[in-house]
Amino acid sequence: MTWPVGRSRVYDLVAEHYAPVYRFAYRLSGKPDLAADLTQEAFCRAQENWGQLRDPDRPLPWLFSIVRNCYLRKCRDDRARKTVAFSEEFDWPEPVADEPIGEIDPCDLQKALDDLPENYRTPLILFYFEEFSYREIADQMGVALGTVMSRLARAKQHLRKRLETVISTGGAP
Amino acid sequence: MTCGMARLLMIFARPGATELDGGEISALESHLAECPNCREHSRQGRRDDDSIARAMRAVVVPVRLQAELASQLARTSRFSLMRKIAILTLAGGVLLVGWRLWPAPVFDADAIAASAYDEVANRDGVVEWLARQNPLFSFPPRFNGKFLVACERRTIHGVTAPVLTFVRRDSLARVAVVTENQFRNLAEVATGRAAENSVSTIVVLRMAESPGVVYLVEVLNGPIEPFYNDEEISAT
Repeated sequence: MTWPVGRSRVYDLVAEHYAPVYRFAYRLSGKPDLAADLTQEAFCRAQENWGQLRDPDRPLPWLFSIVRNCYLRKCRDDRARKTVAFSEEFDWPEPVADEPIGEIDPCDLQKALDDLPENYRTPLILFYFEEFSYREIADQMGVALGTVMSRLARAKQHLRKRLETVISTGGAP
Repeated sequence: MTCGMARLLMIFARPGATELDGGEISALESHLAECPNCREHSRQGRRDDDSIARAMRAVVVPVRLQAELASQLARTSRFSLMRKIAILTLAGGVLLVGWRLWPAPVFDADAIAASAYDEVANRDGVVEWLARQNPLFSFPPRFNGKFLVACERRTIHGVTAPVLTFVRRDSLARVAVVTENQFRNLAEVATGRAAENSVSTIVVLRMAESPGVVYLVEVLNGPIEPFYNDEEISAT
């Protein structure tokens, strides 16, 4: 039985990290209400399982992994969600196209993210959002480094294609 | 370094990344300094990544979220504590009820005595045990085996000897099996033991069939006769 951690430590954790945790949850789920629920659930679980925090100086990866687990659990009831299909085959990407994509509307970005399967969306968010290293993303998701590289490359290609379309059509993909 | 290798390393070269070692980073930087195409490719990649990263972080966080989280955590903490207290209270209650309902052990002296008797009542075993001490030793004459409760070696006036303990009702008889020559003056030993242990009766038994063997009998709280059966002995 784990006793609840001291209140001040949890409130410090909330004060310092609630914003990035919410942003991550929002980008993952694409819905403000669900993001708030996920954030709340993540901090409650963090409070209950404080002993599982391996690096107290860097709690964000732990909090993100809790958010992701909570999100995946909620997604089990929502299997009908349509996403683009990707092969897991590894191929080295060409990361940059000829034309720059310019400034991106955050809403357009979210729409492009929503199309991606979760196992492609999460590494992409972690990559851009908090500048996690490839190794950290691999650890976070429990997959091999090569798998992360492959998924990131494909997810970036998809993102670029979607965003270029949005930009070229003036916001109507 | 080729352009292909440089573009591969560009994937790993970004702020905060740890995948490339110092040598690879400096080789890539040298290539970028020499190759305008790759340099432009790298700059554009950085610009695109920065643009996506800015958009990725541009999420409006609800103003009241922090306060709501604090409030929810306080409720959860209270609920969690109450739940744990409830579980402990319930567990304590179950233990208490179990303790009260569990039948208390009853001390049954007769059963314990009977059990002890069962363990040592094998008269043949006792006879063998005595013979192992000294081939001349045998079961105390006239003593009824069913009152025997213990066999042990004890020290009497500096001499270690097999001692049989018999119990009948409130009386106890202890029979030490010794030889005549183990004590300089057996009568004095008997008198001394009687004075030391406040025994009711002290008897020295001898058997004609076992010359030299002596049974030094001490009886507490009663006479010796209740321990006898009808075998013949000679008492002194």
